[in-house]
Amino acid sequence: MSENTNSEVRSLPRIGSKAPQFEAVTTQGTIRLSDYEGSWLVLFSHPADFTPVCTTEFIAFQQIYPELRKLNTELLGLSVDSVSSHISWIRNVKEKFGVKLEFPIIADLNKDVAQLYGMIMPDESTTETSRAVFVIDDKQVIRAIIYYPLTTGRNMDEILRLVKALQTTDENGVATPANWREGDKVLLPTPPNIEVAEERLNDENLECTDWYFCKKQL
Amino acid sequence: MACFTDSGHLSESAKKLLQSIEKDFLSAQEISQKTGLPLFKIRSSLRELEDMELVIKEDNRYKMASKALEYLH
Repeated sequence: MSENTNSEVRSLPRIGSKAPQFEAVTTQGTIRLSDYEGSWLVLFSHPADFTPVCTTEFIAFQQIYPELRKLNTELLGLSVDSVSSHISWIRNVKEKFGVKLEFPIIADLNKDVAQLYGMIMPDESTTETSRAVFVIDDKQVIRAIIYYPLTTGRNMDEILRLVKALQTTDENGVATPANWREGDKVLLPTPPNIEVAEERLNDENLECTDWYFCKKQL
Repeated sequence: MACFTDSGHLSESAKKLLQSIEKDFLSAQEISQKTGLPLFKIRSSLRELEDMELVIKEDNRYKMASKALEYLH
């Protein structure tokens, strides 16, 4: 059985490719991916409603949602559960944890979206989606993908940092170093030719350790 | 049917949307700015309201149809 199941698994959409379009039933009505054109989107899956790790994650996603919206970024959750299950869980989270989940959640009972985005890891579970995160930009291009197993909750600071880093790259044509935080110096991409490399070394506005390693403050 | 409640009344967000285009044709983006509702929600609701013939669409701009008045007031 696993052989058959595995042969049906689709590959992940790749960074830089157009995000696969879908129309899905959610807790806030029928939504198409194209409805998000013009804003960034964090599309994420979770294994199942009414499970402990997912509950902590949803509360944490809600906590970063206002900050994401300031970055013109929306949140859209997904699991292989019904709308009724999602509604019941949202109400339970409000009642037991005092947190109102304000973003929509896809009820992907037939796994259409999960399979389109390669969110199911059949060797881990054939019925639950793993903890996938797709950062999709305002032109509907996939910009980053994060995968976590069923057992491990995601880090919301990293998701927020990632969106900020990607937007900073787009706005300024720069790259961001390891552990970059908003306000830190950014990196210039590798020079395309020797002339640019030498120009950079003589640029007083740059902090160059060597021709290929130049930082600047935005 | 996110725009309607079980009792057949317009949801609060759908009311807000329709009120914003009661007089003028606006784009989805302008409606989003005017109502404060997220753009994805506006687009999704407009699709539903258009199917119900409660909004008129011209050149990607929307205006409330007179038929919507009975739901609005």
